[in-house]
Amino acid sequence: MANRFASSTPLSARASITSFALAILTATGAMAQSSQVGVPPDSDLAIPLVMIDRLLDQKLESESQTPVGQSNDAEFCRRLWLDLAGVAPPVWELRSFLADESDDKRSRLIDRLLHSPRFADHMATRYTNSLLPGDVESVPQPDVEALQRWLRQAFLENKPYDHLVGAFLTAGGGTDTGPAIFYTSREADPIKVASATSRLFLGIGIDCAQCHDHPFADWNQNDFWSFAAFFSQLELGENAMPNNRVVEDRIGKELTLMDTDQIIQPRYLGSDEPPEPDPENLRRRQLTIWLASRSNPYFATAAVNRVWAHLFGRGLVNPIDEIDSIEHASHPQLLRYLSAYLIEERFDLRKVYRAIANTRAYQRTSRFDGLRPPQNSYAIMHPKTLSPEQYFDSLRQNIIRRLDPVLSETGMIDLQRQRFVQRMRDRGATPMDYPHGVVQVLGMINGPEMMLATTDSSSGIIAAIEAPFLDDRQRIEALFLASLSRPPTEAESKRFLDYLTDDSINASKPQRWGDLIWVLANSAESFVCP
Amino acid sequence: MLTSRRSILTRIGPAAAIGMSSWRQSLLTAASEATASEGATRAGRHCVVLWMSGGPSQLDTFDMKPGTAVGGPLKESQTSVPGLRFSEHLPKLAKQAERLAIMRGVSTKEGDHARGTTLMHTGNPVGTSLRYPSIGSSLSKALALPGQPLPGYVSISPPPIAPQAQSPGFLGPKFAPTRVSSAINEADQNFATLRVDHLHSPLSTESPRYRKRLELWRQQQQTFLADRNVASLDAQQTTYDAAFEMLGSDAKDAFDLTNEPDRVRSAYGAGTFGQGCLMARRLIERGVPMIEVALGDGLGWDTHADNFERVKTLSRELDSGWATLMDELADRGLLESTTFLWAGEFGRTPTINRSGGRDHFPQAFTCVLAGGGIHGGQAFGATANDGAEVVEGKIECKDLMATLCAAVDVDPELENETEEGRPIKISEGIPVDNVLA
Repeated sequence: MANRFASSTPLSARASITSFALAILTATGAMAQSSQVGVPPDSDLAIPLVMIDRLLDQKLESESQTPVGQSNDAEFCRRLWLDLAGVAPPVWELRSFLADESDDKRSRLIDRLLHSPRFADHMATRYTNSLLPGDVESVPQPDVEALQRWLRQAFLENKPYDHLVGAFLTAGGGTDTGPAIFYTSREADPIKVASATSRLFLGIGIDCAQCHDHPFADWNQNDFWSFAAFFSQLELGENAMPNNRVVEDRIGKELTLMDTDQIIQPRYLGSDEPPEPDPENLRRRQLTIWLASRSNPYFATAAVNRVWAHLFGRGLVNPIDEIDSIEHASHPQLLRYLSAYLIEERFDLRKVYRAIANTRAYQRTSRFDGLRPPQNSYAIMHPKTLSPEQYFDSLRQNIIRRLDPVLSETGMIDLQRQRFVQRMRDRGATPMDYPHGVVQVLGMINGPEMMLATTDSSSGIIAAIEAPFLDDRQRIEALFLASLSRPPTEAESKRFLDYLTDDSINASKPQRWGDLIWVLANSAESFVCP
Repeated sequence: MLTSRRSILTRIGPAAAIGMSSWRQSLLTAASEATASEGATRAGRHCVVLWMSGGPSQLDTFDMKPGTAVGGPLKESQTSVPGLRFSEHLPKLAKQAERLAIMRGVSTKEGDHARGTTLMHTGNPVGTSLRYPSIGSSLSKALALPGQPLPGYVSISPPPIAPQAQSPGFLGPKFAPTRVSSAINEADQNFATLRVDHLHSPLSTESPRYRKRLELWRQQQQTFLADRNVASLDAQQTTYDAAFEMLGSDAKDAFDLTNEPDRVRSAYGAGTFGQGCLMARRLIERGVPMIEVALGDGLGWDTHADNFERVKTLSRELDSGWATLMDELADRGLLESTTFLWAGEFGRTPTINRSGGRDHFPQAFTCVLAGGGIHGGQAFGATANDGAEVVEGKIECKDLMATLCAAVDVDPELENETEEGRPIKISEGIPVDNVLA
């Protein structure tokens, strides 16, 4: 199976991406700017990040827009940790990053985080959330965790993206083994599975063509039904365990057109030819061979567009699961370039992350007072709302901190996390939305997580800052680093000091520390990746 | 044309005479001031959606076919309106049939629970990339009064399936429903427990400590938001403000049903739905424009088996809750300003299956409109004798939603803008004039 995906590397891989880049640059007239870029254009690392910045800058220039300045170290460090590790930087990490005076500390941090298990964890969480259907609350938690473990392992090994998707789509077995839940949570219904597959891995919302021809793109009902026919063999078998169904393929099972006996033959999207024959006639494998191949124009595009959306909060084409046409992208050339780059790098997603995270565009500040440049100009970074997992994990790591044996051994804190995530989840929302209503906010203000974080018996940071060798000013600094990943301003420091000594308030010192944590943990700043 | 048909001020006028507490008086004053300043005529209107989760059987409630092959064993009974007949298990509603317009010709294409639930909450196409708001979100936005401490849209015990059906979509989280959850009865309690989680602050909202802490929070917000002028942060601030306002206000007592005498609580019915209807009354009294109460925890009306016994039980629960709510609102002069929609995701098949159940049937089913703005005491539309199709007065979900809008004096063609600035009407449907008062 695997060797069906492993394409031999063209000898001229590097040469061809370089010539592709040169072709784009020549075509778009961006060559003229090359002298302004400090990195040598022929260095292997340099090419992608230089290209990305150049294609973005070129459009900014043509629209007479000026990008804002670069982020400061604290802003960058918080952003990168939240984006790649899924959690705010631990205080000691942040302190040593701020103290580091070397020039390459940003790119070194990028590399270190991309290779850390936290990246695999975070990617697994993100993929789990997008792979499961919207009403996922009905899916048993242990099965969700099984999927997460499976994905984590794949990202840990840095399995090439085409292999990962291939293994995922052809997987069988029970829901406690990982990918099967993708099928069982959709009742192994070819229609639902086909629609999810095309959205997730091809960026095509072809299911609109289920009932009528697609309003914007060239897909028609035949395309959709022939695509869905690849999943006609899906069958759910019963396992010995209740609620644990097994995904199987039954050869000979066919999909028929609604209310008729007309059997639908499988066909790849955009192709009139019959699919490649499979020795065992396994339809899912037939599909996967085409879907995750380099000759499929949609696969790599959808993948890099997702990476872009991860780091910038929106895709180069939006919505990311309805790409429709590359020409709708804010930067079509850039999207083409990135997808060619992913293919040349043999579907190594990490390299795409690395290239984008090293760009000036990704490292711009999100601060701007006045009317902000449009988000899709990339003249400025836009703050992204944290996912419930990012918020909880940051609070847990930096504020609650204490590895209370009771809390961790009983799994109570994991249960807390699960409840928090359930309460705060909004699957329709993008990182550009603040998706929470009054009920969620009441939970933030008065809920159990905030109690844990602000009560001195459970809040690790309150215990930690009470160390005698610190003065109150240093303690306040520690709270800011832990909650917001930056030191306080002079004005903030003073306000917080005043609160500690305010006579009109009836509260003990630890309670006052709890109040200050409450203020920071409920502030807009703690909800965003800056 | 919709706004000129009637004036809301004359409608709520008599209510003030019945001796309401002072906060309601001041609310009405605020309402009429808002009316004067904004030229709106809809202030002080309310809408209640009674959501029948699972898909209620029209053939065993409001569109019965006794004595036919599809009729089933339940009996029909005369209502207070000559010629209009309901199930005998809806006796209290039968006594106030002049308040109800039975829409017997509803027809849709969505026979799946999640899709049907979404369609019947938005009245707009399902599964498109456009995130249509629920009718509750749209109406709560249109009916909102300024300076209200309580949320504009409260959803009591919503079914877990298709939570996105009630979503505010592109209107944003400000118009999301505040959900009230139900807890399992504890042994010593006679009534279902309903609550809004985390509604009570561990710190007294009156204390200097609470106020100082809040002040410090506001300063943090101000500094940060000053150079990050983006919609999501603005929304965070707005939602927090709304939560703090609610926490600091007595109006949140609306959610505390223990203030009601047992006699009243019993009249509504002890279950989640009955107690939810009682909560709806308390919320309406305090000016909440949009409330949804669900009946059928999970998918209670999904009667694929044992349809008749289950519908009988559910009907009793429905009857007590809904009828008592309308009576109590009428006593307070609030029924004229409150419009009801009774609906589920679809109806049920005329054919009775081998398990004595009825299956999903979106082709021809019944919804009910009632109360303020509705010309009750009639059935609009009709199904064939075998219940298989609509033969008269066929309407789509969007028409039902447009009619509901018109009944609460909101122009269904009122446009809201999506994130991309595309204008979208609340409803593309056509109001059914025959059932509008």
